[in-house]
Amino acid sequence: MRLLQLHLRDFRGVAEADVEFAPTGVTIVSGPNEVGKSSLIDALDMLITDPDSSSKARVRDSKPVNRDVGPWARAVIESGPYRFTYAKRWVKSPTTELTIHAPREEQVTGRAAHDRVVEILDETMDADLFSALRHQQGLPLDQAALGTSGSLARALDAAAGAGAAAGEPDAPLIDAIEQERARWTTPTGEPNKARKDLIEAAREAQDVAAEAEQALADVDEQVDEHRRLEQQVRRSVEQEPTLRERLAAAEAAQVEAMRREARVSELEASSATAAGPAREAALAVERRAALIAAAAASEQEVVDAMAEGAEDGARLDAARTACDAARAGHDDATAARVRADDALTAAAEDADHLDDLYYVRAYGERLEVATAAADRIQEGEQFLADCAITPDLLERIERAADSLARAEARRDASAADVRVVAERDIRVDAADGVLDVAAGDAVTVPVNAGGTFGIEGVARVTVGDADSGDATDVERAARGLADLLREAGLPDGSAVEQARALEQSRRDVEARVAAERLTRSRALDDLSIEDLADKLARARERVSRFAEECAPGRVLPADQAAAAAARDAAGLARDEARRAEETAQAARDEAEQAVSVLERAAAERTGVLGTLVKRRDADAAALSVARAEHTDAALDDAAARASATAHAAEEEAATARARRDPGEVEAITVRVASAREALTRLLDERQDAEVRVAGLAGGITRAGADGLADRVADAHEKRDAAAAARDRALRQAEAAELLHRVMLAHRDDAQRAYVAPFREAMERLGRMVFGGGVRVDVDHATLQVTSRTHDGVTVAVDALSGGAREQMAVIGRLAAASLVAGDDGGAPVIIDDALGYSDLDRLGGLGAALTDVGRTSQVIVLTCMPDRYSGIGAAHTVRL
Amino acid sequence: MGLMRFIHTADWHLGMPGGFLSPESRPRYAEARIDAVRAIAALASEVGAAFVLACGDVFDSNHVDRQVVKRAADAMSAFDVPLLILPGNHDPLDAASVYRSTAFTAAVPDCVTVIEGPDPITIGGIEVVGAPWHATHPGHDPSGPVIDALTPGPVRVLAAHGVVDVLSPDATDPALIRMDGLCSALDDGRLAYVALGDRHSATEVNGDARVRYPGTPVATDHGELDPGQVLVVTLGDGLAVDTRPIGDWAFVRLEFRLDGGADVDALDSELAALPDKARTVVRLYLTGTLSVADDARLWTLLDEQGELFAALAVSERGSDLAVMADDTDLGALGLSGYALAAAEDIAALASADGEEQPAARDALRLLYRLTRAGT
Repeated sequence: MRLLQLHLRDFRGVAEADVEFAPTGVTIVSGPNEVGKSSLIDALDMLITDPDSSSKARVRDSKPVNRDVGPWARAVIESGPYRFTYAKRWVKSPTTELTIHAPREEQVTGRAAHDRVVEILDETMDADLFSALRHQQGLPLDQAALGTSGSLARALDAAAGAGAAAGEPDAPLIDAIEQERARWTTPTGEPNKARKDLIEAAREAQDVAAEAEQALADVDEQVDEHRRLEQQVRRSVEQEPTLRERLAAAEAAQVEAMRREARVSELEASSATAAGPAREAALAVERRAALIAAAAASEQEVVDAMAEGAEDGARLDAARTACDAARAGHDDATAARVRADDALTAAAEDADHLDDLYYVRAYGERLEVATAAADRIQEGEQFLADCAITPDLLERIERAADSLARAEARRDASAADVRVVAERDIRVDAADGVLDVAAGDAVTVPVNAGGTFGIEGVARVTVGDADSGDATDVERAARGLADLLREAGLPDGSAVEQARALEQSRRDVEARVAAERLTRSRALDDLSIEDLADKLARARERVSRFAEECAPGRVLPADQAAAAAARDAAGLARDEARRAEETAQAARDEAEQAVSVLERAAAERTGVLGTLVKRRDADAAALSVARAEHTDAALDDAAARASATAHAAEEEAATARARRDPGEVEAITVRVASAREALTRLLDERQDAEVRVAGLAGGITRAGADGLADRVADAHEKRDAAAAARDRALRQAEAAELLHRVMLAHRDDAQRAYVAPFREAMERLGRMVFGGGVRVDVDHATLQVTSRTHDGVTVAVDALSGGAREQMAVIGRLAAASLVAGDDGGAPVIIDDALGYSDLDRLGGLGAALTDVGRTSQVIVLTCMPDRYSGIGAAHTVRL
Repeated sequence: MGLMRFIHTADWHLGMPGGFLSPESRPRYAEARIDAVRAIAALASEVGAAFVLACGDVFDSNHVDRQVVKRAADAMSAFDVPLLILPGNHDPLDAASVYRSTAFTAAVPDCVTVIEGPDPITIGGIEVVGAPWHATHPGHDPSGPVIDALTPGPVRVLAAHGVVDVLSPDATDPALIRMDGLCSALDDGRLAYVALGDRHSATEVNGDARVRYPGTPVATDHGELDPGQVLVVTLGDGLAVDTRPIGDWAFVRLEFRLDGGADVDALDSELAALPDKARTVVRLYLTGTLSVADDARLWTLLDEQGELFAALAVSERGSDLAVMADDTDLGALGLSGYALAAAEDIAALASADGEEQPAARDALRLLYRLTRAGT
């Protein structure tokens, strides 16, 4: 629908306004506030909607205040193939006039005209779109409600090419499909509990059926087994006689074989019996031969023993003779040795005596020397013990004397010689004595420093300082010397020379004592005086004893040396005699030993011979006794006969054994055992089979009472029913799933395809307004933008600024208008004083968008601020 | 020689489980098999049979519930004439034999004789020799030795159980009954009639009227020919065999090609026309291609009809029903836009051979249901 012209008269505050609109492109109607811009659009609305007779408030309100005229409006409109002029006056003298110019000339008035226009517009205009694309002053410029526009939907359908209906007309169907799907399927597409239960129930029923079938099969198996066993029992009964016959035949054969075997045994027993006497007879012959041999042997032994005895007797006699000679030699040697012993004793006694004599003399002399030395030693030692002086003490005395001398020298150096001239007789008491000095004489008195001398009865003179140290030192040194001399044991007033003499004496004594000690030691020669005295005493005693004991006339050797020589010679002779004696002794022992050995041997032989004789006699006796019983010949004969008998029996038995078949008995025995075993097994197995038959029969009978066939039938029914229920559910589930899947896929595709042209148009226009890179998300039901993405930032449309929202609302209308062709219900975009929030930049962009859409659609802008729309390129401008 | 008459039956399968039936139908089906026993007893009196010969598989298993045994024994007490029971492969005379169970021996009436061996039983001038089974898999034909031991003489009937070699695809099976042996015994007068059991379809073997299977008296499965009857056999003046109905359960197999709403309507009519629905087991083999709407309608009608039948099942293996969503279909869903595109995608998956085809068909049905539910 396009509005080509609108003429108002007496419409609200507008006395008269006549506006022509560009059929395509933008028409800007500008004018100050209240000049009647909005009235234009309201008038168009009333013209289309309200009959001239309407008494609606907005109709009444459209009458100019205080003027009694009816508001009037006339529009020239193109819609679809139609082009018409349509005029109405309301309230006062209502009229309606319609002149249709195309496609056919037509004049209609009154209500019919109104209805005709309604009809035309219904046919050619989308009222919803018209209403949506129109913005009224004073209302916020929000997104248009395009979702209800049939023509836009058709346009989008046509663009999408899928023939999809707009919005979601099939929501109840989708709900129903989802409900159907939910019967067996979870929202995530998995089998739900109901389906799982059915599957499980089918499986359980299957198990139960299988179990029942198995129970029946078990019984059938038992029945088969029962029949097999019965057949086995029957066959067993049939076989029994045959087996019994076979056993009897085998047993008969066994009896015959055993009889033959017994005959062989018998002959073998006879042979064994005959062998005994033969062996015994042979033994008797052997025993006789042994007896004879034994007797001969023992006789020989006696002969041999007697010969050996004779030889031994001769050897004994020779030994005894030799032994006697040895004994005599030994006795002689002993006597010679005794004589040598005696000679040695005498020579020794002589020598000892001569020694003792020497000792008495020598010991006496040494004792004398030692005793004298001892006395002198004692004397010296006494002196030394009493003597206090020592070399050390002497040295100290020497030093004290020296000190004193030096002290005196010092004192004397300070001493004075005082010349005293006596005027009368005086006695001077000086240090070195009292001097009597007569009158007129003079005397010189030496006085030590500090020393004094007196003049008796006159004066006491002190020279110099009495307290000077020199005198004191002298005194002290003198005292020290005196002390040391006292210590040395010298009497007071002794001088140093005495100490020196004393020390010399002490040294001399010491030397003498040492000499005497040496003398004594030499005399004693390591003995004590007492020992030496003792030795001397004992030597003297021996000498006296020899004298007493000595045989008279005994001639002593000349001296000690001769005695010693004699003694040594006697010793040598004695040693020689002793060796001779030992040699004779050995010879004697040897001879005696030889005799002894031979004697023992002789005795033993005698015993052995006795034994041998006895044995010989016994053997001879035994042989005689035996021969008395059986002669040797008789024994030989008996043995020969018994041997012949035994040999004959052995040959007979061997012949019988050779005739016998060694395997026969064994084979027959095996055959009998086998036949017996076969029979036993047959009977045992039959018995087992009978027992099992009885057992099976019992089980089968019991099973018979269970109605197994019915149980199986019942289980099968339930199984089949459960399987059918399960399969039904599975089919339903599959069908619902398929339907759901296909339906939703199509819905999603359709929704995407459906909004695509609209979205694209919006984005194209959006780029003009917002700049490059604008993307929008469009709700497919309302065709409203839900979010805008600009420069990579996505913002929900409600969160956009007022300006952006306003611009988005305009763009949405323009996009819708651009999609709906004018001849298919299209409607003009009408914008009444909007875009108050938009800056110049955006206004410029909007101008471009308006221009762009204006190329195919009619756009009407009503504004009091035409500058806002200066960005619109080629606009048809109308100023009210 | 007067006329001698007996009833030849077999394969009662008492205690057979009815797993293929709706739970509600199962007791009725079990009861029908017991009722058949009583019906046979009544028929025996009606036709003046000397005895009733049941040739094997009287019980479905040796392990049937003892309640089944007791109820069977109770039904058998309705017989006024001897009932000869030959053990078959389902109820062999083995150690587990139901005939030796206390439940049977304690309750069975005196009129019942279980044929345990080849000893002949003579009733009403007819000598019956039986070849009972002693095991489920005996490994040989039990009747072979019995026939070999016979000599010509009385009017004799052989009671045997098993497959005759001329009917078996596996000629090497050692348990097969040799038709040659039967024929020569019939021809040389050792036998007058061979009463067989095992086959549930009433059968005249090899076109020989003397060798017969009576079929099961109450149908047990699809594909059985002429079940639900017994044979009234008359001997003495040649052989006369009369068929008499007993059971009224039916197993119906319907094959349909569905290529549009009209075909669905036809199926609906055909099912509605079937009589005695409570005793009818229907198995459908459906092929063709249906629109989503027709497919939905088909399943709705099958659900509704299923309530009426003893069982109504679509064979999965034998069916191949495609669901195609054409533009009309999809338009009818009232979808637009992407929902329509999704529906088109699923329709494409549903019509293309692929792994997801079954799921896509179900999904299409589901979408159909959900959108219809919304309107």
